[in-house]
Amino acid sequence: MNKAILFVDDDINLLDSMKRSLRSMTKEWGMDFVLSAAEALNLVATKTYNVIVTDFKMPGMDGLELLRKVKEVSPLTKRVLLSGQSEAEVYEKARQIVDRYLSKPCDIEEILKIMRHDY
Amino acid sequence: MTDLRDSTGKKTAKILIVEDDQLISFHMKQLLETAGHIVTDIVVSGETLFEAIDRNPPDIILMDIILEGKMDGVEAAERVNGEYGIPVIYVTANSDPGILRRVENTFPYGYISKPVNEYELLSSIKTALYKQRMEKALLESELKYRLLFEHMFDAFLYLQVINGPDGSFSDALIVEANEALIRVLNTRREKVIGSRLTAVFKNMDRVKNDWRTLFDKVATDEETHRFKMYFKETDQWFGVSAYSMGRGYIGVIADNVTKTVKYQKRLEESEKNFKTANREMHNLLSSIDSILIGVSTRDEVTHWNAVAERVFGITAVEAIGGRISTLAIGWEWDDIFEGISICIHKNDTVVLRDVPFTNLEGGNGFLGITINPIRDDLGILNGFLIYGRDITKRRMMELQLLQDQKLKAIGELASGIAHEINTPTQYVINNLDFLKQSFVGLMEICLRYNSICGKVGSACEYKSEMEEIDNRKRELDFEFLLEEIPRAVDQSLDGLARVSKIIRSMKSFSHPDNDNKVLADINKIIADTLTISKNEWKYVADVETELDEDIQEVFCFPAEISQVLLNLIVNAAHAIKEVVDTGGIEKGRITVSSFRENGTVAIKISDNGIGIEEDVKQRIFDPFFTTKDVGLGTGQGLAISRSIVVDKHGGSINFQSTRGAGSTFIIRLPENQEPEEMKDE
Repeated sequence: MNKAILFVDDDINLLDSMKRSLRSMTKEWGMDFVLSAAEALNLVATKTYNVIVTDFKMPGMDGLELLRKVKEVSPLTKRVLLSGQSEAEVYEKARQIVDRYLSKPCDIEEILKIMRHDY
Repeated sequence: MTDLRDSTGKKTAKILIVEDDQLISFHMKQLLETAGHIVTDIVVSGETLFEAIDRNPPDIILMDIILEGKMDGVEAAERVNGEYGIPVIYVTANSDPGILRRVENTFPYGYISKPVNEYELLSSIKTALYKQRMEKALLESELKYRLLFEHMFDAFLYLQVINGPDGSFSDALIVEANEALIRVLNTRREKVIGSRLTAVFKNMDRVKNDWRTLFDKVATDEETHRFKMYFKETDQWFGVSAYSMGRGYIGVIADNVTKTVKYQKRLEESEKNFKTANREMHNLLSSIDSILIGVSTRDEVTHWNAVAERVFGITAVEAIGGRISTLAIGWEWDDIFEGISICIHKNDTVVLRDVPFTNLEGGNGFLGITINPIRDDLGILNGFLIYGRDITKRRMMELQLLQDQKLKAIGELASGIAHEINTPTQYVINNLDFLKQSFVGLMEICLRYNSICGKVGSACEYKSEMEEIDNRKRELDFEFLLEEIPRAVDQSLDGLARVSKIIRSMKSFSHPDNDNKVLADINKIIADTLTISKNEWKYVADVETELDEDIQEVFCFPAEISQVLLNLIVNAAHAIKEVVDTGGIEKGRITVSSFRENGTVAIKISDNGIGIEEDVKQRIFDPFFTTKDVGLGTGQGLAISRSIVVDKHGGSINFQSTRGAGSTFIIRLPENQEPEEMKDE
């Protein structure tokens, strides 16, 4: 069975760019890209993801809240916060919930590493 | 007074004769009228005498003792004395001792025995007239003095000394007292006259214990003494003068000086109050922790307190009385003069916020000065009060606070901008990455097509299409694109990596947690600071770093340490630029290293710039000290840096510098410094 990764960001450009740069992984990975936490939760409810990568600041539910809920629903899903914020405050709160904290802009290689080595 | 002389100068008198023997009275009348006197009447009884006196008052009465009627001559004379005061001369043959005694008690002017002898009669008249004249003069004189005595404002006492058993003054009998004294005592005359002094003035002994000694001296040595007495009964003060009035008698004049004494007492009291107030004012002024200088309108220093002494190094003795403008006060005189002129002009207090001054150590500072006009009750300008405080420290703190706020604002802005930039940067990187990878495949395909095209050559049926492709390839410079597109993408990715790095470095300057120190990697702070400041140094210097990877994270305020490093790096770049500008070298070198040393983490920043001049080495950490041109430096960089390192982190900042060779600054931060709230627990 293929592995699955879910990307959540309110910026379509970012999602599209992710889709493009991770094209090489499509053979082994099923990838979903959604624009909001609500859509993400819907998907998580129906499907098991190995990894979820989410933005922090989004309209409605933010990335941390999303990951907190994902942790309850699907504790084995690897939770990655890819945040444009740099406040230590966010980082402090995130520590309890996330498995990896990445700052935008990050090298796409960082995400590939997570996909390749951590799973 | 009756004129005893007529127009010819003869002594003549009006005489009334009281005589029951008509023969004798006729005889006397003849004698008298012959001598030029006028006999006004002749009466035979005491009862008729007074009617005659009233009818025509005589100068002299010749009185027989045995008369008609009940009243005898002595009795009549007594009444004359009491009611009229007319001199009486007795004319009688009576020599009864009892009657003679009575006669004497009526103070007669003369006594003539019968039979009347002309010479005796006339000489008696003459003597009586003289005596009467003298008595009248005396009486008038006494009346005059009595009037004065009664009407004078000063109280007067006439005392008769009563000596004690030892013969010295013991008390006095009040023989006479004037109206003023009676008023003072608020009593009746009869209660005073004839009483003892101590009985009237009951508080004498309490007033002045040695008054007896004084009165004794007045009475025996005829000295005059003056002293002050208080009469409790009427709450009055008297200036008393005691005079000798002949042996055994003392005259006392008491001048009511109550008003003077009370006024003087009030004066003394207000003087005392004034002195107290003055002393309190002096203490108050001395205790003021500010410079206080009084200046008169003539430019003279009138007040110079201890703080002024301390701050300007001029003692009050040196300053007071001198012209202020001649004193070597290290303040900006133009500001002060302008302030004073505005103070005069606007007639109001002038506040000068930042007056630059040079302190005794030659350091720069600021004074906050208030100039107050001093006016008298009429509003006329008397001078100025210059009140000043050394506000250097406060200004430093304000500037540092301002700097902190600026940094915080920059941090917040950087953080906000970073967020806005980070997401697009992320997808531009992603897309470039995608393009880079895709282009490799795309290029491979292109090259393969290219090779097939070469093999097919111009023989095939697609000749015209092939030619078109060839033309297009030449137009686009196909080989160039193949080579340059991957490089363009790579360089773009490189540029974006640098943008990302700068944005991340800027975050180091933000204050995510302003109140507490955090564990931070000093090497990262150094790297970030170098990234941020690159524009400052890259044209004049190369930067080398020698960072010890083993140094531990230190508890610190990372943004503030960054600021210190930024200051030092910018200063190093400026020092190098001076050498570069003079053509000394083409490019300088800044070396930044970190290492552990004796429980501290040290950061060393060396440059091969111009170096610091010997004579300013002592002052480079002084606030507001700068060697840079106006507008280039505020003179607060090193002062604030020192404050951050020393005051906020308990570290040290030192330097070595050789003019013409370069400078090295070393910052040392305690390695195991813990955040304050942890220390508290």
